[in-house]
Amino acid sequence: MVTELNRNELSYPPPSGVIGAARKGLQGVNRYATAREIAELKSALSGYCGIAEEFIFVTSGVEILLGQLIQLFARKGGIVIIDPTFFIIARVAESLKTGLRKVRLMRPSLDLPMEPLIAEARDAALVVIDSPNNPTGRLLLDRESTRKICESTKGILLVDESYCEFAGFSVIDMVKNYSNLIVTRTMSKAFGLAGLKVGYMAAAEDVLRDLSSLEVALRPTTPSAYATVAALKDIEYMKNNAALVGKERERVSRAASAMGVEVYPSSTNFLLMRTSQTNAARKLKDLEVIVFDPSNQFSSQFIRVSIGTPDENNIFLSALEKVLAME
Amino acid sequence: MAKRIGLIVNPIAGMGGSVGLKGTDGKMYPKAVELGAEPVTAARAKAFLSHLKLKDKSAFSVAPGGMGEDIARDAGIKFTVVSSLSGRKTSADDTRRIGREMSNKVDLLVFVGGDGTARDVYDAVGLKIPVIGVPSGVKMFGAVFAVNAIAAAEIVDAFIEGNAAISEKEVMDINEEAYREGRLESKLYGYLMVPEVAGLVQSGKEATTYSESSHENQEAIARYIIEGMLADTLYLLGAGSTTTAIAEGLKVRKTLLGVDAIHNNRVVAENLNEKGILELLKHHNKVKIIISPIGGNGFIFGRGNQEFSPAVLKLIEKDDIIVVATRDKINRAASLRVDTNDARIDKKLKGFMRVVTHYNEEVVVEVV
Repeated sequence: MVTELNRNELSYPPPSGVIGAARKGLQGVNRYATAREIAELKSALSGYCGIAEEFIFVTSGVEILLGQLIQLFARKGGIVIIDPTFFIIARVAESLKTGLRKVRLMRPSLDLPMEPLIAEARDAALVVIDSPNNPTGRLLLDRESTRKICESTKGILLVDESYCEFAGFSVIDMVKNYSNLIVTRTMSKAFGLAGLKVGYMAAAEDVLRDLSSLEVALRPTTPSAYATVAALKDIEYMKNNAALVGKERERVSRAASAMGVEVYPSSTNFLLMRTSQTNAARKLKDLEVIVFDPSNQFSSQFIRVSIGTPDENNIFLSALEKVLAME
Repeated sequence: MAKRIGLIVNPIAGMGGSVGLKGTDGKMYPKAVELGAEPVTAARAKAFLSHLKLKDKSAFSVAPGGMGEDIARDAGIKFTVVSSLSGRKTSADDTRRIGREMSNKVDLLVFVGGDGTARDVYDAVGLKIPVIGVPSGVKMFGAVFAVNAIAAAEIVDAFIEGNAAISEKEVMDINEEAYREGRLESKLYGYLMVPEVAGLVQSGKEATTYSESSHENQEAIARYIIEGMLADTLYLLGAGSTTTAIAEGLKVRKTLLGVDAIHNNRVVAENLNEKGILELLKHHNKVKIIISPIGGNGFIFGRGNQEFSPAVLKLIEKDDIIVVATRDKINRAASLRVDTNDARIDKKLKGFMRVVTHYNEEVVVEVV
């Protein structure tokens, strides 16, 4: 049996209340989601994020939102991203040809170099930073660095916080103070609703006005809206899962380190590792363990592995041990 | 159809290492033997063959005697022998002659040896067929080698399956005399086409590899650089295939392995050495250098590009150095590196630099 640990999903199913709500949403699925249903969804997100509804925009998945935002701001000027970053951010930005600057995380520390970032951000239309970062797992921004970038750029700072629940840290409340800050998030990670694809963002009204023409086109489906509202009523369930993932992440990290693998500290539900083997991801695949292959961002000795259930993690660890023992 | 794989083993490569000679080029081989050096390539070649999984899906052509035939027979693979040996001892001439013959008969040439062997193979096959090196020499600074024999077997398996990406990699010429004295002097010798295992293509969402070829990437870089070129400015184009793409875009000739000077879209000097560059700098006050990292490890100055000596770099502002590299190449180098033998110049260049990686696309990378 194949063990898939390549997409940073949650390995636990949602609680029955969430499944029931999605089913309820299915009953009216001959209709588009109504403005009232979207308003209820926004209201639930508002409560969860501690941000007024007026600041919130919901979409069918965070990837499409990131893509739309990058395309929208590319019309106004240059884009700055970090390297490496979530590959959809990189691929959309690379496809535009309107001016792209990447600021590479320093090696081997993987720190974000603030000075060149600020220099590049100054005249950019959009700066995109995923924090925690994918594929490194590292939390790149604190409140101070977020403030500094917002104050020094003429454009917009977009912070993708898809993994913030695992990090236990967010700058989303800062959208109240900075009219040029956008924070994007997802229900696909800690809430475990990847298959429903719900993403959302928080930003000041001016930014949201730019997106208003897309509001209807990007709306989530009715079952997704109902399920999300239900999931947001059960924050404890999400928190327990995030804690479980955190505990397993530290166990996997310790076990892999004990095998001589270099494991990077992570604030997410995945770990970046450097092994002694080339083509490490392919060798794990031969043993029916699928991990993400970041070999075009680092070398082929690197793997990014999602944290699964304790059983899945054990399967990964024993496959890793076998791969490391190869000549 | 079965893939045709060629194998050439340099039986004396690597013998200098254990006896501290740092190489067996030229006259050093008898000395290595005298010092009791043991052949090492046969073991590496055997390890390579034994780890190859898809032996049955390929047809082997091997060099005669100790240059491949003997090892292939021990390994129990089916093969045909290409050419014959000129004498009892093998030489660089044998490698070149057999390499040339194989270039018409095989889809991929595997050689076992070091940097010297890589240069002989380059002389023989150039860019005609893909080549991969199994490292067995003392010095392997070029990027044409797999990290070890097992990795080489993995790459050849991927090639046989059609899962390898092929890109041009540098063959380096290391000055062995200097290296024995503890100095690393290297220059670019040429390019070989080298296969490597392509990134795993996973489910749709996770497919992260570029669809564009490295040549298309180089053309996009060239378009961007040419659009930004200023009048009455002297551009010194360093070695490499990306800088050559810039010259092609300007419709001028470029020495692949040397430094050429361009002024108002015309070549004003070719294949410059340090002295030639210094002479040109006397007559131009607006000067920019366009270079690409050389040698696989992100080196921009010091290992390769040695025409840009400390004396030259002293006269050039850091902002007037334009670094170009394809996305793949820069993704593989953790940082840019300098090692010019002049601490003050190194210090001036360290910090951060932009690298042009595509049309209007640059990466800010740390220089260490």
